[in-house]
Amino acid sequence: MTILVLAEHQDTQLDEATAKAVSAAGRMGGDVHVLVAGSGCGAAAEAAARLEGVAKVLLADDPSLANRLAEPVAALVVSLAGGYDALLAPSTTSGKNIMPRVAALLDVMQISDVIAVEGPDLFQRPIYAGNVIQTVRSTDARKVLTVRVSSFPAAAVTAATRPIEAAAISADPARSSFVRSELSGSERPELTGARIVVSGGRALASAENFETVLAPLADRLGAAIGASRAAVDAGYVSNDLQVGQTGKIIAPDLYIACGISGAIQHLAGMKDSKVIVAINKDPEAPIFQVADYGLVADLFEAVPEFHATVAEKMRA
Amino acid sequence: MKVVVAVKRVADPNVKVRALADGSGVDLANVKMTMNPFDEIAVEEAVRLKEAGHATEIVVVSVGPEKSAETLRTALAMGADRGLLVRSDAVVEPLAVAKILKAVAETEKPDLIIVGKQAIDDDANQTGQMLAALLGWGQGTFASKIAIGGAAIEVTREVDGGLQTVNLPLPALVTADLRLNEPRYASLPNIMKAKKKPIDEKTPADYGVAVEPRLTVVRVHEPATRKAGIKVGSVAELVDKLRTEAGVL
Amino acid sequence: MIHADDGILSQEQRLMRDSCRSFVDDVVTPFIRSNWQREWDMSPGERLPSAILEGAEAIGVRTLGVPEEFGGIDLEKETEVRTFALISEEIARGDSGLADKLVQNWKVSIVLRQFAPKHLQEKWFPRLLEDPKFLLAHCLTEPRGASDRWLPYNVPEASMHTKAVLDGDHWVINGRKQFISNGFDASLYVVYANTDPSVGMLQGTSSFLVPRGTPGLTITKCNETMGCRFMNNGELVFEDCRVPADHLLVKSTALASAGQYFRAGKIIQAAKNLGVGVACFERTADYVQNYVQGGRILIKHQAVALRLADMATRIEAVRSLVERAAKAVDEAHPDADILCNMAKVYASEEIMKVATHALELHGGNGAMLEFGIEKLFRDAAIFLHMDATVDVSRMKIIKNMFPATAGKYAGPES
Repeated sequence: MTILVLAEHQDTQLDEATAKAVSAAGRMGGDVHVLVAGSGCGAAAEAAARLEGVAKVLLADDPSLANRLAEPVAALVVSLAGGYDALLAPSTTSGKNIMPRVAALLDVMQISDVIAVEGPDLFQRPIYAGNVIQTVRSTDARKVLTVRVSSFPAAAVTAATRPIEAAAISADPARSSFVRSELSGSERPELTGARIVVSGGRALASAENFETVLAPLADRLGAAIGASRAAVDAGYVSNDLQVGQTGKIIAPDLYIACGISGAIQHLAGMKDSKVIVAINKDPEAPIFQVADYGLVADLFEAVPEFHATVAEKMRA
Repeated sequence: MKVVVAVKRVADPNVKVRALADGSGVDLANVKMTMNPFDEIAVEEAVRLKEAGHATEIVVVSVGPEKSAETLRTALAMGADRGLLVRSDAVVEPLAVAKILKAVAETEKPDLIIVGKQAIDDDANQTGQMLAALLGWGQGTFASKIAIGGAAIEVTREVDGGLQTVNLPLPALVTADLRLNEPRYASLPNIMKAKKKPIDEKTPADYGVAVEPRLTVVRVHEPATRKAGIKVGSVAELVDKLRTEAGVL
Repeated sequence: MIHADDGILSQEQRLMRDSCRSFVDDVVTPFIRSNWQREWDMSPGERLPSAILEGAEAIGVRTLGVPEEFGGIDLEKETEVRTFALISEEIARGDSGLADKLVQNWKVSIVLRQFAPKHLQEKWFPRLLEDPKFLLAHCLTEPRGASDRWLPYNVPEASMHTKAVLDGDHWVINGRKQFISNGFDASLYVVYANTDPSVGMLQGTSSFLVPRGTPGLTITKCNETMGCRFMNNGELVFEDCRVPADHLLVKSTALASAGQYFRAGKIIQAAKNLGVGVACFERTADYVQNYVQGGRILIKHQAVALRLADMATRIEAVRSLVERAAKAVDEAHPDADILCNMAKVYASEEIMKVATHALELHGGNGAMLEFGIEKLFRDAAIFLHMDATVDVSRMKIIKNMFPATAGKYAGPES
């Protein structure tokens, strides 16, 4: 079995998502190749060639692949598909954009957001926002799948490097053109990829409090900021920070819920976090039922104290 | 400009769905059903395009059981002009849905197709991209903003780390993300008026599409529930535990 | 369970219910929960922000009862009252006072569409539709009595004190009306007044349309009530209040001909309190499944489970009766009056018990203003006395069942 992993990268650097997708591919058994498609992306290909478990890297370096628009990248992957039993990408927004297009062109039913590989054709994936896990067997001869990166460890980086081959560039279908990209100016990490998330609920009571109470702690921890739906509905933060079933579904190493009661809607978005901390003044709040560490306290006192304590420890 | 919108009937997102004890599926008996929230956003966007004078007709399509007609009726009450139910009592996977919608698009010849970015039941996030691929159209997925400009559409997409804007020649396909708009409620007068709007009914076979699933569901189970941990007495204790016991700080 | 069974609803009813529920869940409930102090604002106009009424307007629930030819909607006539009940319940699930504010409009719109001359319908329906703040009120109750007085011992000495006398081409109204729902805010009033002191009230009461601002009409106060506080109950005084002759809606037999919309009103009101009960149950069910006592969630304590079962049973029983009565009204069943009064009594007393359980099951939190359970309790409690007291309603049941004996006037005390 040979598996092609579509790399997630920013041309000059390889994203960790790729290393995680490589380890997921490794669990299917067989040779793992990585396709780095982009423009001026040699550095990313070199990084991919150092990932443990990778047999070969395919480099598709062409201006038509800049910005990794779905139509040309999908056409490229389809043109290479003949040599592979499975095609895999991390379920980042880029992977989710491209892979279903690949699957349809190959007449394959994609398996989305795989969280566990049980065999070459047997996979676990969450449905209903992770409230239920489905185990599915693919009957397609060729598999197309995306994998949830938070479910797999990153493949190790080795000193040894694997061969990098140039891939033939297929014709650009030219069904879309890039206009611009606006990356969020915030120094804070992106909510979906952050290792630590500090999240606030309606108890924060204002937009200002998110900035003055929550943000210092988040910044001290290098954490992303999240929010409950109630806080978003109240207008304290924009809705791209919403954690929950209708917002972002995240699984950071540490999730700190401040003044969040723990509605089902919210729990669906964060319950896979490795460690959950809840700070809430209501000792009976449902959030404590899922928290590893609960602190019954007024967040307006506890969060600044948390910040001060961490600052002190870090100096020490 | 003609717009086709596809909608799916799903379990209400506020309901916690449970796996059946025998692991064969999920228990949807007596569960309140509603229009997939992302599809509501897709319908709303189409209605706004019509209100802004861009769209002339909105056709709303659903692939699913008979009850999906009610979901179509909701879309009609929101402002769509007519409905098409492609009736199938069996589960239809996204690939087959995309094939059916492709056939619908070949008949209806829309300039724009809008679908929700994913259905909140199977969470597949595929149908729109697959449909665009089968039609050979450009795709603007996870849209948070769209702007019609002549024979093209500019789509601002929500991507990891920020926003990306692409330009697509029409006809094109857009999948709606949460921030695209806030859908209106179907008002009571419009619900009564929607009663008079037509809903056509077809089957996948009418379009020559086989709906046999490619994926076999082997088992459905609920993830292990988290156990409540411990209560700590102070911030100092909390930080200490996070550093030494959990090792996450 | 707890909610209406989808199977007995038409597709349109289900969609309407869904829209109302979304509006309540997205807009009304979050407002009520995070602004619990606002019902105690002593400037009545400040309590409910206009955004809530505008939201109600956007889903079209303020103007039910307005005919389609005037821009309203014609519900299916065969199930109209059942549809009213469904919507009233859903809105009251969010806030009983808001529901009351809105349902007065439906009730009075039905009066207008049935009895107002065409040119007045053409004048007032468009104004009602245009302005999201436009409310209607129905002025029956007087300081000397209300439902207790018009039992109806149909004799001159029981007639209304508010009087209207024809003077040229105007009617001149004098008197007082109290405990009037929407009385403080309404733009247009339907007023009942005696026009013939020599006969019983069924033969001598007329109804009039009185616009706010008519000289001689003074809104004297907003009543500070224990519940339903987002509906501003008011008192009105009429001092030589002159309305044009064409503002007479029904001459002499206003009360006798009021039956049809009174019945719909009773159902709407009972359904409204049912909505309060549903809210009590939902809040409590959520609470007891999440909150822990003695190491286990409350619902696993049998004493808690039993009370919850009692709440559910009473709600289902009330729903059955309200549905039966609503159907009877829709189908003009001869027992409709009796069933309406039964629905009112049962919806009052059983939901009061449901609210009491809710209060108890929330422990100390039940008594806290910011928790919102005591509000449901107050909203349920005030309903005992709304749209006729429960005991008067019971009297009406018996007088209707036994008109020849219990219904017979025994004469004045000698």
